[in-house]
Amino acid sequence: MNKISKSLLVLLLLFTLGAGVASAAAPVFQDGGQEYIVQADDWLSKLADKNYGDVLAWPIIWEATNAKAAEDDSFAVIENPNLIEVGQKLWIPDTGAAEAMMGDRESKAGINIKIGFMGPLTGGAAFLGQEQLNFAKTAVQLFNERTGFNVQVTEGDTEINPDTGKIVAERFIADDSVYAVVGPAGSQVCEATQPVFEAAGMVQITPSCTRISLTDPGTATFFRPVPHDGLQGPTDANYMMNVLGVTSAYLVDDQSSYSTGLTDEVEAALTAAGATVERASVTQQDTDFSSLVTTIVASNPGVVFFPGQISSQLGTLAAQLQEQSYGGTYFLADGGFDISWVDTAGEAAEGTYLSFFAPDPHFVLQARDLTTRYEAQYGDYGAFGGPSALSTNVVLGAIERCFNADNLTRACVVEETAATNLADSVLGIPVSFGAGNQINGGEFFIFQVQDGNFVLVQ
Amino acid sequence: MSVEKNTQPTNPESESSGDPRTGASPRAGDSPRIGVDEWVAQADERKQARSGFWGTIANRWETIPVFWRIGFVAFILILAPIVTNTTPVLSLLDISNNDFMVRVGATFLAFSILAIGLNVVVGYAGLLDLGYVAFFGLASYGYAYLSSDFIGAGVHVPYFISIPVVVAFTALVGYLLGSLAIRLYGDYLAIVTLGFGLLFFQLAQTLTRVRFFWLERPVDLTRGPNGINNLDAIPLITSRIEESIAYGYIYLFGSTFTPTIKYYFLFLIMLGLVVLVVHHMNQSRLGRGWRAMREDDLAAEVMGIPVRHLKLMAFATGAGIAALAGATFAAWQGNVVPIRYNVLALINLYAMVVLGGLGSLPGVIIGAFIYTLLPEILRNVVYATTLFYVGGLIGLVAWLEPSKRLVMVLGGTFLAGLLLKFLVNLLWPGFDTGVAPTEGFFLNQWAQSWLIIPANFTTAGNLAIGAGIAALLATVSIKNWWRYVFLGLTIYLFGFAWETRLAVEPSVTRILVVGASLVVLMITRPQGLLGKLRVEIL
Amino acid sequence: MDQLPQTIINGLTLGSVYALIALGYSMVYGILKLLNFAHGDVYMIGAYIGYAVLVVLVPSTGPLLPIPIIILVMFLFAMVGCSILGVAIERFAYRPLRNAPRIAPLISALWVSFVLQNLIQLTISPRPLSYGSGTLIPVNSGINLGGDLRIHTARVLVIGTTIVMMIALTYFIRSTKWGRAMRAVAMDIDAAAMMGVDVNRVIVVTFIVGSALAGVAGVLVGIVFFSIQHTMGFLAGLKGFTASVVGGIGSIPGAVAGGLLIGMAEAFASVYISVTFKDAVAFLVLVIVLLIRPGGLLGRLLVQKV
Repeated sequence: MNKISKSLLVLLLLFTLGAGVASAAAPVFQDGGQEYIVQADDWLSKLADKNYGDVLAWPIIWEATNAKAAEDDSFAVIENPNLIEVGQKLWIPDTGAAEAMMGDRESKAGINIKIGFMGPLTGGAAFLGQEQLNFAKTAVQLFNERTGFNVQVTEGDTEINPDTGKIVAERFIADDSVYAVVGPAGSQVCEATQPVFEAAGMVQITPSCTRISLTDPGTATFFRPVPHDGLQGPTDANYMMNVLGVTSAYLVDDQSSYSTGLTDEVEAALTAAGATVERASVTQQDTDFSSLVTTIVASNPGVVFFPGQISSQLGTLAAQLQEQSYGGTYFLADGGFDISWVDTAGEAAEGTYLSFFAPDPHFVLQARDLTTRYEAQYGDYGAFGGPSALSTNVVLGAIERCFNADNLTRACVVEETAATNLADSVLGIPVSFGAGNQINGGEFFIFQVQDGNFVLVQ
Repeated sequence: MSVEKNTQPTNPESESSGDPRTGASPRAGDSPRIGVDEWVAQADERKQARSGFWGTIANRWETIPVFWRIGFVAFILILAPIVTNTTPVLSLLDISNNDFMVRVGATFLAFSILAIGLNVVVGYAGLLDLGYVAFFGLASYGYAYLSSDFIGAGVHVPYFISIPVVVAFTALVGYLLGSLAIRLYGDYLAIVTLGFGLLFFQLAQTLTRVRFFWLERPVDLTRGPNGINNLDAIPLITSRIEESIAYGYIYLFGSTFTPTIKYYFLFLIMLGLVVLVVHHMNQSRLGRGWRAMREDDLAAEVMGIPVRHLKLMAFATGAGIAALAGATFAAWQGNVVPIRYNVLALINLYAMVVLGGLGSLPGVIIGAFIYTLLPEILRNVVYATTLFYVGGLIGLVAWLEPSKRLVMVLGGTFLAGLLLKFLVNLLWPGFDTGVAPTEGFFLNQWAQSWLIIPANFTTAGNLAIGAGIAALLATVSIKNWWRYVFLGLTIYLFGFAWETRLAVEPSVTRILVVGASLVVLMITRPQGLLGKLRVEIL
Repeated sequence: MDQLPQTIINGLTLGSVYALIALGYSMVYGILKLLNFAHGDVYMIGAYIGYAVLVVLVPSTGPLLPIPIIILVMFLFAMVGCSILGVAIERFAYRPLRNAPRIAPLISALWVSFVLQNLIQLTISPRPLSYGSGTLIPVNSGINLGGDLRIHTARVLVIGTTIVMMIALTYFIRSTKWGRAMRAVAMDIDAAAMMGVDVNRVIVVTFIVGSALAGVAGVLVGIVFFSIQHTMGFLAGLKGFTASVVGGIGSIPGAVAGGLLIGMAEAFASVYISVTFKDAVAFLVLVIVLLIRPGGLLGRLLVQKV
């Protein structure tokens, strides 16, 4: 059996080799080279050493094989260069082609390209900003390894203060090697920095500002690859009213720009549908909600909606609702998509609903590379990093296309970002931009915590 | 061992003079003496104490008439945004526009106005007002109500009416608050005003649905954390004149007259006016009264000085200056957000005033300058790294003075580091990867060729931060030669912590560096850069 | 009206924590006349030390020791750790400034507080951590008070620990040598020094006791409210400070009374006005109390010395 499959493979190999020679349209540096079947105990840098006498040349084999895979189905794309399987087919360019590729990579690495990241990196909201920053850094690392560019991430702490945000924005603009900016978080900071980037003609792509007005009407340079409150609010309200069948709700925001904005949308949708709504707000520094819970229990609403961002606060509220025997439903938004609060809240988290616009990044296959790398470097993560990596990938793609078109300018990056059309992404959703540079489509899914896991229910 | 124990001083006097400069007299001239006018008594001492390069410059500077000194500073401030806008400077700095620098400059000017207002209350009148930012915020919200789309279909009172109205109103609020708080002394005053400041921030965050009994629907007074947007801008006199100025500017300097530059000059003019007014107030009877009251308000009252009136005047003046800055600042930013008026802003303002020197006008402005600029410089990792290593070296030189000990400590640390690296590579090959996340800058490269960098550098770096702080504290507290060993250890650990952790997270490091330098400055020079020590009577 | 008992329980729990923090503020102020703004962050560090002990002693396989012992160990480590920290802060950030203008130690304290927060963010994590619900004390445990009303064991622990601490502290201040020395120094620092009291040591002891109480408060908050974060110290510190001032700064029973008052005010404001305004109400209470009784509830107004 083994013999048969081997000989089949050899046949296939010969066939594709012939096809490779026959196709004249292949890029220059891929003309010469040979196929190689991975043996046990092989890894890319060892092969690079054997073939070119240079362990550091391994990305060439990776890149060449992936390029080959695009035109030849018998080659498989290598997603993770640290993981090649025995029997897998590789394309090893000959020395001349390899040198050309190496030179190409070196020239790419020599270009000074930066991506600015802005967000709250210190203070109470630092957990959010740091997670976004580190996801952006990880995405850039993977991109650099794949393409040979040497893109750097430069960070700017906004302290979620719009004034500081503007200073950071101007600082990025003043640096000619910054081609795009990822961030910031906090709709009020986005609103303040939007005109600054528009005047400078630089891409600003935010992973977390969800206020509707930012892309309606929006500006040419402001991109939002995440769906906004105008979608999430009604989705949540609909689910509460029509599926859960509640007629009364208690809405709690955490006095952040995001939270109040979303709560307003939910409140509007619920009130329009005739539900009775009560509203309160806590701060992000609060550790005790027992008095809030006492009020909630007294009015006994069908659902408690808390779009908080701090995962441990969500857990505390859940546990305290349970402590005072609240009987209704606990409903969260994006911030709840972080398994750590479920782990700590234990059974109090069971049955909680939450809404998010993508599947859990922990289980998205396309994000496996990214998330394993992230976990190795920075540890556990919540729901805010995924959109940041997505945003980073979008602008990196645009920068790469501009470079290939020999037109690496901020204006080109704006155009190319607008022209983004990804069938798939690290969040497992397609990405393209529509009116106001808002992501096309985008819908919110409802998840429920069942047995300590997020289960898609709608 | 018993000898070492004896060298540990126990009484606070010698403890505070515990600087290692052997032979230096324990600050005889530094501490204030009751009954002597310190400033006069020490004039000669100060002149003599100034030696070396900077001392000469300081002495020369004092010989220039005040008018020319101010003129010189004003000239530099006027020229700064214009010069940095010209092409040669921009290409020298390798940037394409300088709105960043102008924005930082304008922020500095705005904050120095605010700091001067705070200085009137705290520095001149000696009232510890921790609710100062509330006036700043109150004025901003006032301006937002008068000149934006917020109320109804939009109220757009022109700036030359709305700003004076807001300033007058805020000064009145300051007066009223003052008259409430006036019966409290010292720290109690501080606490009540702090309560007022916190209350203001909380209300700005939460007053989004206030029910008035005569209205059916709840009213949104502040729009909560999102704040009020699209405030009216302040034109230069009129929009027409502003246009022609803009044309003239392009014609003269070849660069665009951006709104940021406009507000820079607006703040500069305001700063000039405020300095003038405050300076004259301080020189007048009012100022003398304030000083008398600050030194001892009971004695002042006995002397027939209207203490109550003076306190209220100080509150009102401070509030008025804060309001002027607040309204203009809001107009510049185009929005009002509560976060601008939180405790952090208050702490920043106090840091500026105290850094520069309480009660000294130029000191306060210098304080605002350093305090605005330093964090911005630290955003850049390369600058921060330079500052860290060079600053550390300067600190060491200042502490040990150029001497054999300095050479021994530095040389010893360096050699010990090399030896350690050699030994580790010999005995435990593969442990020292030699690769840290920060590379490229020559100081980083140099440090990394000397330090042992294990593969898991994050954990090691975190531990090194803690160990480095412990070693530093040990260095400061131990009095015998062991402290030089700890000093070497401190240098090594901090170098390691910088390369593996601190330079990797510049945003956090920025705050750590600013905080640590302020604490060190407070310890070494509690009166601030240009302030004077004075006797305090509680 | 059936929210009333529950509100009182909530207020007592919160008030106990505030009281523990307020004591540290109050003792330091009584002796040094220093507003120790870094105290809130000592409390935060206490919570993190407790977390570290918790992680070590309760791995995912289950607790290694009986739960009461684990809690005691957490208290012990937090108390020792916070005491060391408090003494270090006093020695290096406050002592050199003892004769400096009064605003200098204030600025020093504020920045020590920021440095501590950011050190934790840098070296531990910017992510909020959680002690976990039911890790130490089962979720359903508690004392039934009839009807739906139940007081959770964790709350009993908080209130009980506070009472024990309070009694111990009162004994310490009233009846021990150090306590007498502390009272003497608080009354007149120079006179006490002249009478042979080692002022520096008394101050160190004050910081040890105050910081240990803050450490206990940190662990208690972790146990009862689960969530800890590197910025948790600032607001809690302000509340504790408010409490000590409302009660009469420098007075031990005053700090307790103030803590309970602020805790109750917040709880009642949350239930009967709106949770939105609870912080505003706490600060309003501060302003009103001080304007009516400038010395605080149980404090004496400082006599101005000429």
